[in-house]
Amino acid sequence: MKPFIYSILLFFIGTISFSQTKEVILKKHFKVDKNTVLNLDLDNVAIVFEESLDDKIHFDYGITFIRYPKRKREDLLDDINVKTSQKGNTITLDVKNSMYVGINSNYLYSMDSLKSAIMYYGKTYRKRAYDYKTKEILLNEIVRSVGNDLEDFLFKNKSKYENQAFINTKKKDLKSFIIRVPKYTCIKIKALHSNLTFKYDIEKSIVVNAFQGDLKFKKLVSKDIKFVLMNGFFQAEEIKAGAYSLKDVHPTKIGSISNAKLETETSSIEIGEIGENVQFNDFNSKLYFYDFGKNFTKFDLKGDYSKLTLYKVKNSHYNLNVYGFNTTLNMNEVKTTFGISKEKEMTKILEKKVKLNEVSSGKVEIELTNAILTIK
Amino acid sequence: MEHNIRDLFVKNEENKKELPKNHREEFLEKLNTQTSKKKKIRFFFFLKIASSILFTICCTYFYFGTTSDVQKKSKTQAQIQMEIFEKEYLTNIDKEWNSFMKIATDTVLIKRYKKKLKESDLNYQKLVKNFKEHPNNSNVLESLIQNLQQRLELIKGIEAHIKELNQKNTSNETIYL
Repeated sequence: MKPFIYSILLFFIGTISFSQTKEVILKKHFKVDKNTVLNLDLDNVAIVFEESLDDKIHFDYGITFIRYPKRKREDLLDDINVKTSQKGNTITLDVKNSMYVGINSNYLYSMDSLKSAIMYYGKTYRKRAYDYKTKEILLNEIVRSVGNDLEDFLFKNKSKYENQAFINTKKKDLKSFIIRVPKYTCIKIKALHSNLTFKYDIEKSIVVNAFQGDLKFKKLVSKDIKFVLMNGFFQAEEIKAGAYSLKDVHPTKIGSISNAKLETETSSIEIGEIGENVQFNDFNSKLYFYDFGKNFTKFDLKGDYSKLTLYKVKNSHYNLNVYGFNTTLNMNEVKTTFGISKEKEMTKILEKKVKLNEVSSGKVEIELTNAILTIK
Repeated sequence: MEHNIRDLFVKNEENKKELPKNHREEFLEKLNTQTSKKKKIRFFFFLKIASSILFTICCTYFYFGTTSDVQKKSKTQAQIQMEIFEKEYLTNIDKEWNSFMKIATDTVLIKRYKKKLKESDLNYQKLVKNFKEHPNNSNVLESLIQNLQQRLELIKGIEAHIKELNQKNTSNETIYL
């Protein structure tokens, strides 16, 4: 009888160990002070940043494998390359994972489902109407978002496109990489195909250079903030300073922004509220500015082939001047193209002044070339 | 039992035998036949080398021929499907680009878009290389489809933008709100 029981036990242990295994990739901490710089060089990894309260930087990286054969597990672990080092005040983390490792997906689609979902998204979801949103609604979207527009769409439509039979057979790896950093630490990031989520407010310097990166922040407060992002998505609940260069970023969602300079290209950008001292230079992006703050003083925008939508302009309390060359104004469901001159000079398309008894909240100056302006 | 070697030779009767008269002719004849045999052996030796080379060539041909066949056959379902998607997308991208070129007059814009599409294609080629190494990886697959979809959307977007700019209703008078 005994051997029989043992064999059953062995079978169950074998099955459980095969169905779920947890691997610790990195568990390390470094003592830091106010002069410490955290240097990150990242490839194909998703990291969540949390605030550390014990003057230490903690790295905690692990993977849980579900239904993963041993050989495949070893293959994947071979493609993970993580290294930490310390030189003086600089702590460096190098993650050079191959694309095979990938970052966590929030859905499991078969190839056919994935293609039809992406095609449907391209045809309809991306072209959805951008109706007015309050800052709170936009903030709620940022908090709930799981990724870029497409990822959000795929996640929201899981029940429509996911196939249970496919999921049951699909092996899965749940990666978790958490870095806990004291708020006073300066951070430099070079990232390729990586998802970075900050769950604390950035009050010190941060410099980010990212290609195909998904970046999500709470408050960006420091003056020494510099972002260069190409191909990805960018979300911030509040920007209070910094310089941002965004190219092919879908979507960019910002709850509110002030004291910042933006250079954007072929991106889609939603801003809940524009505050004081914001400068904007754009080429061929879709810009949705829902509101201006109570004392924003001045806002400047220069756009070439931009598609700008302004909301509730008639009821607003700011002065507005729009100059344009070859620019279409879309207002009250009438489309009119302005400023087509051989001299290619800017002409004044639109002017709005606050009423005599009203206090102006600021001045909006817009220069558009080959652009489309929609007033809602 | 010690022997003197000189005595041994003196005693050897064979030494006393006389050579036949046609000994020289017989010797030459035997010598000739011997050389012709050697020539034959040399000929077969080259034949062996030639045949082994031929055998090696045949083996190489069949090995590579069959393995490339196997490789062709062993393309994963995902790779085959991706090839179909790619063809479909690239045809559409090409079609959209041609209709964009028909309405676009701004050379700076065209140049900028050409550069953008080239950058996107370079990125795609890197992904293709990755996909060959990991043909069943959903991360790479998703990035591939996304890249193609983005390119298509990009051209469609600017085409629609230009069409909207070119609409008939024009004005140069400032609107006051």
